[in-house]
Amino acid sequence: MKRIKKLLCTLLCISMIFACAACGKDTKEGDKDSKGSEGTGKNQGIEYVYVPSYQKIEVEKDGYISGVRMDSKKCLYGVSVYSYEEGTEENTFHLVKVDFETGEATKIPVTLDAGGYIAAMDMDSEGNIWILESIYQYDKITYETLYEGYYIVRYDEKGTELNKFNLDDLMKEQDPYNSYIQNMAIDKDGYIHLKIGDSVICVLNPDGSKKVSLTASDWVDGLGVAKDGKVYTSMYGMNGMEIRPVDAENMKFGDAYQGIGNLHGAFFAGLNYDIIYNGESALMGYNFGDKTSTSIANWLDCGISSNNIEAVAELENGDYMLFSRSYEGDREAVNLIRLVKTDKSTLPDVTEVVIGSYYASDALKEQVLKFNKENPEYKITIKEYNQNAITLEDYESAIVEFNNDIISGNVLDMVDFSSIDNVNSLVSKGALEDLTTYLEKDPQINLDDYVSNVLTSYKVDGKLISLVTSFSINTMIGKPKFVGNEAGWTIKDMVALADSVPAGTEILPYATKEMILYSMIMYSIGDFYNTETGECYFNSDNFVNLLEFANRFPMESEYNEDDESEPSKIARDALLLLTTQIWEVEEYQLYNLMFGGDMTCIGYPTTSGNGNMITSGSELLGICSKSDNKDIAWEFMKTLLQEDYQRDQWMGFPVLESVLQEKYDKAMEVIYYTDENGEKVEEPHTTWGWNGVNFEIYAATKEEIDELDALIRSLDTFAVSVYDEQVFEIIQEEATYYFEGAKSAKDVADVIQNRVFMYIQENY
Amino acid sequence: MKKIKKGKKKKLTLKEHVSSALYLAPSFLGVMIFFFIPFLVVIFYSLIDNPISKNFVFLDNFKRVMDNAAFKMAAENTFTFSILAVPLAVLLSLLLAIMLESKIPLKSQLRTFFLSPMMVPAASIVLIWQVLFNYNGVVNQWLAPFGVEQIDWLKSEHAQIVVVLLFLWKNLGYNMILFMAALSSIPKDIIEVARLESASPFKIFMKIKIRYLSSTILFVTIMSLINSFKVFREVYLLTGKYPYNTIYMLQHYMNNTFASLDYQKLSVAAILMSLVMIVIIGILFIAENHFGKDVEG
Repeated sequence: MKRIKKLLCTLLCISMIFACAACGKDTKEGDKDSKGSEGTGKNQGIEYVYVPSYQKIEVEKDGYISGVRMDSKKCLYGVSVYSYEEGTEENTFHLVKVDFETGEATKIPVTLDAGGYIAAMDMDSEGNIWILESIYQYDKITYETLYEGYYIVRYDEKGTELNKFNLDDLMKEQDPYNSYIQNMAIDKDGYIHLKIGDSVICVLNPDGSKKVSLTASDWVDGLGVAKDGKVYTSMYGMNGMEIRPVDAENMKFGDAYQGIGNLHGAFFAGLNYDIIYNGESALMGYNFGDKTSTSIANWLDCGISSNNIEAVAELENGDYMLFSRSYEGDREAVNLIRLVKTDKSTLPDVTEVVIGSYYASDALKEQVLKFNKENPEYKITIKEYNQNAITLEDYESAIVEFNNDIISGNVLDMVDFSSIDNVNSLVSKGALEDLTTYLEKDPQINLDDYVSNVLTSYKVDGKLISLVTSFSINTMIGKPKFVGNEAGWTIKDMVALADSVPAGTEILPYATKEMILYSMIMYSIGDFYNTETGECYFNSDNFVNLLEFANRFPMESEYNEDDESEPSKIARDALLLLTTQIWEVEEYQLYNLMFGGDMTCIGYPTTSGNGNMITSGSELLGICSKSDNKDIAWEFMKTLLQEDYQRDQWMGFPVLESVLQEKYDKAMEVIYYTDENGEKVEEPHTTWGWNGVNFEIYAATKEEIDELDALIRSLDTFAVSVYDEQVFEIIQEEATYYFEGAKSAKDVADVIQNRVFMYIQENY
Repeated sequence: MKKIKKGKKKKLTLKEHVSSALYLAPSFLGVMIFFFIPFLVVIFYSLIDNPISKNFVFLDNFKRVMDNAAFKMAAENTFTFSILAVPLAVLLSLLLAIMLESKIPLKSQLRTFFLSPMMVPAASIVLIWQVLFNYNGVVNQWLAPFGVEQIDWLKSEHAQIVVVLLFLWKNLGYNMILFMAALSSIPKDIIEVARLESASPFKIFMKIKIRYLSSTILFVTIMSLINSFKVFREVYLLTGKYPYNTIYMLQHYMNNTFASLDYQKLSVAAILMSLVMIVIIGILFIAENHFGKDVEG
């Protein structure tokens, strides 16, 4: 008996051990948990990646591609060619079919009606081609609309027209202000599904007659056919994007499938997945059965820009086909990209450099793609932490994971600061490199070639942690007669100005208590505490006076579009100040005009120096101190300082002096047009308007450029480095009690002092 | 099989040692992996300057933390709160248990009433407390007719009172149930004998019942101590990361240092707190051993 008991106990222990060893889900091809980077998979010990192979599609001059559709065997697209020669206008149209096996492109002659273009296209299970033709015909002399409507036309594979349905009667039933047909999908039984407006799905019988019309409770994002041949819609639900089948028989949308991740727009039927789609960072597959999204191939890893992908198809041999469209100059660059499933061990080794980012911008991804193409021995990848975050818990988990990866020092080589707020903590832990030494030692970088005061402005505790590669000026503007001619003033000065003007004069537009408080201490909050001594001064008279000043303003302010415009108020001194960010030379000129041709960028009130702040217009990258690839990381960072990147910046002033000068020269370029008398007349670069007040911005004068340039040279503070969100949160929370009349300013100041003191001491 | 002679210990063979070790191994490994090794990691973090450079600084972090005003304030507040709240929780729940053990009407309903706060989710508790103790809340409105000025309960010296009330409201029911179970397990015959011997109810309680309740009192005290730290969740929801200094507890300090990636300060605070806990619980065990030894044999 005892032996039996012993045997039983041993068996139980062994089964427990086996149970522990078997924990964890099975890895499958393409699963994120399988070894290797996202978008790879293991199969019988072999790790696969997808390698792109390009097939260029030639597009005729003046040609435009529309209505792309692909399946596992072929790609179909329409080509419209518009030519305007010697006063004549000619439109031609044809379809092109590309066979994936042979690579051959075959023209299919199809004629559209006059004024017609493809609004949508699909293929049915029999290989027929369905075109939703949108027609707009107008009188070429009077421009009067002659006809506007839709047709659905069915062609066979050779382009012979089989059916044609007019949709005029259907369109008469729709909301006239929201009746644009945006999408069409044909299910396996030949029923035609149309997405009309924002939320209407109309199902037509194969003969073109209406079967049913369904209205979704929310905006319908996309419409497509899944692997089962049925039509589904994508829409935003309570927990992010979801897919719902269109149940025409029961006249409703079916139950939602969730966990779809970043699906925006089109999705397509897969072979191994119910649907496949462009998930912004990767090619994704989704199965209705287990309701999980799988990352098939990361776009950056494949060297592809996700913005250019228009359609996706899964091939029978496991490859994927992408339809990619971009612009090179003024012409479309169209490619069929085959992602070939390749054994990773057959590829040459590359050094991988990882950038950590909460949410990487398209500009950063484009720059990474370019660097990887030009440096095939390296591969920069971006690990996005917020990519699939939907709930608050997801975002908080992303923050924890991001911090842990930086602190552990074995995951990330670079950090994208653009959307993180604990930079000071990272610096104090020694997690980031001081880039000063890199700048000093690099023979290719000459600080004189850059606006160095801006380039090296992002310093924390004396360490240069990032390079500012494009910037704007965050400032407060006023007339010299009110604020003086020189930049820089204090909170006391601002209060004195408010006290000196007649009652009813607006200090800032639509100023409220909170807005005034925010504007006055946003960049001077550090004057009320000392991180070196751990002292705070929020219970001082200065702060109490500040609260009392902010309390003079209304609690709320409502914008009314019939109100007098800000420029008009400024002109008659009824409004004294504006806060703004200046991104372009034209904006500087605009504000100058607004303030009567004479303005002072006084900046935000501070007790020390300049209240004009630098704000970044592009990526802010840092190098992790534990990285093994610091040199490569630095080489990538340097690409952000190159001429072509600097010139492509559409937000903000460039830091490269030569490109900044080009901007100045372009702003000073006089543009002319020829009037009816044949005379050259100067034309404005742009026009701005507010409620009937218009400003025409002409070529900048040398004086304006010199003033702007002097302002740029005077900048010395990077906005984020002086702004402490935690302290401001406490102030905002407590000040509300005073503004609502519940407590006195002194009581509120005492509570703020008490709470902020704990914060300062904790970090002391 | 060998007969074991009375009074003599049987020596285990090597085989028996090995098989014992194998059976103990899963539990032992679990304790090592999930408790002991992480604690060693915490000690390691407390002895280095930062997780990046990992330079050994010995007790510099301890000195820095113990000199830090925020830590000192947090430790003082935590100690004050525990000294106030835990004995109150034990005494009041014991009184409630005695009351509910006696013959009173609506016993079952009262029991449910005292237990119900345990089932209320934290977010609801926070909402109730905000409504009650807000500057314009219900309590101030009740007190106003008596000439009491408005008190900012959660942002003044009175904040600890609110937190103690919150803690007692939430935990009295659970402790009461434990005491009720312990009271019902006291042998009735001993109490009968004491009554026959003309012992007063107070003497019966102090000489008999307390001894039988000693292990439960120890358990309830330890559980109340643990729960006193958990009240941080409600306080955090009520007052945020940086509350008024009177309710700034050690958990705030540790939570905030974790968020700001200051793992050194966090580790030091955790070690100091655990050392204090070891001492307190050690004292409690000694006390229980002394008072309860004759009933536990």
